[in-house]
Amino acid sequence: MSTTTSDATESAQRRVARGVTVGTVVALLLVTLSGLEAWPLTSFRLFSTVRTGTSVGLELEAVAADGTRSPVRLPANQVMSTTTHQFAHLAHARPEVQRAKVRAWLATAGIDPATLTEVDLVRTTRSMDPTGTSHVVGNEIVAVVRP
Amino acid sequence: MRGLAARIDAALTAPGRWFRLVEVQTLLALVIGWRLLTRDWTLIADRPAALTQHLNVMAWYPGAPPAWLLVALQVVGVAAVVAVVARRRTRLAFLVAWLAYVALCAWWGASGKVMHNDVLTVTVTFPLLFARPPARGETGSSVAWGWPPRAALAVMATVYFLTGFQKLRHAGLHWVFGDNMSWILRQGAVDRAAGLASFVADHAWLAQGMAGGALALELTAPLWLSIRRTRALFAAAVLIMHSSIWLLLGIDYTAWILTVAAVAVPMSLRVDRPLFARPRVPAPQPAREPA
Repeated sequence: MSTTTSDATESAQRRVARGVTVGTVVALLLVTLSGLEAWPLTSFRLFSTVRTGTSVGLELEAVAADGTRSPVRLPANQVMSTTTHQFAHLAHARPEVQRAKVRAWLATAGIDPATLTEVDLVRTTRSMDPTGTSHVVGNEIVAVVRP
Repeated sequence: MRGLAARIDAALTAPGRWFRLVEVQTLLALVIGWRLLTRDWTLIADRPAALTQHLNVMAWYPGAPPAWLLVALQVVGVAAVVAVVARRRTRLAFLVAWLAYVALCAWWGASGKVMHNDVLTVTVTFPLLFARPPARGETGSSVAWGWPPRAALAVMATVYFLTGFQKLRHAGLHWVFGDNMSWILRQGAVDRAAGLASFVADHAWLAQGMAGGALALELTAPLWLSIRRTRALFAAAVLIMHSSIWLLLGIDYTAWILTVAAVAVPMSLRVDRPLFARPRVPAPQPAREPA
């Protein structure tokens, strides 16, 4: 009797082993092939794009009433500094979303929106030579937000 | 092909000794505990709701979590890790530690950038949520104790293979044989290693060697991890790869190094040899008769 119970338990554990292992591996493969990014599901794109000497970056510039332009600097911690990855979608966001996000970035940077006429999203293209010296080769305002 | 599948299945579902599951589960719980303890999770509460992105496992939670909730999750998670180490209600405790860790990491990374720092730990520990660890005093061999560490190895091998596969898929062999690695080093080097990064970037054979080594390691991970004797070597190679990334680029993959070590090192030992072998007490010698 106990041997039968033990065999049944071992068989059940084998089924669990196959289900969990194959299920997890297949899920990882499918998520990778689909390109889904819904943490912790990820497509594991670590350094998977080819870098060249030309790089493109986006940054926010606060424009004061007197025309003075200054970069909006965010705290260095990983939680806040990585919100800059949202810049890429800012230009295509609805105006109310743009305004809410820009006001949030200004608050984090300690800048009073009342002192500004606008905040520009600037795309900067840089070229680096093999000596490691970087040159700005292009600046373009891709979105203007009134805070 | 059928033969290979049958061999893999037999290897996965073979009985395993009780102590191996305890070792792997305990070490992975300690990795989770270390991650829970070494971050200021309350930074999440400082991120404005407008800047919180919700495409993650915590998408169901509205807005930004308050600091008290983050600290509560941290405390509960660490307490659960202690319970796993003490082997008290291990199955439940491991689940609680994992859930707290996943929730905090999901919120931490909800800023718009896909963060991979903790994703290996979360993924590799997932199969162990279904494990039935031995109770205190329970010993011997069982299918239930054999498969979870092997499943963790399989998942780990898949993750490393996929990171290499994605490089080949999206960049091709140019990722290795072009000047890709040189530009990664020039553009991303941290100040402390600027000279070293520049030296490597300026010597194409060195930069391409680094890129080729990293890609080869990732793509061959299933091979390294399927052979017992090479598992510890894989852990050492991963240590070198991720440490060089940290040194040159400042990207912290410590959780990946520790997760690989937690699984691959115990699994590199002979099946009958515990990781922490008790020192053998010499048998008492019979007293010598005086001459």
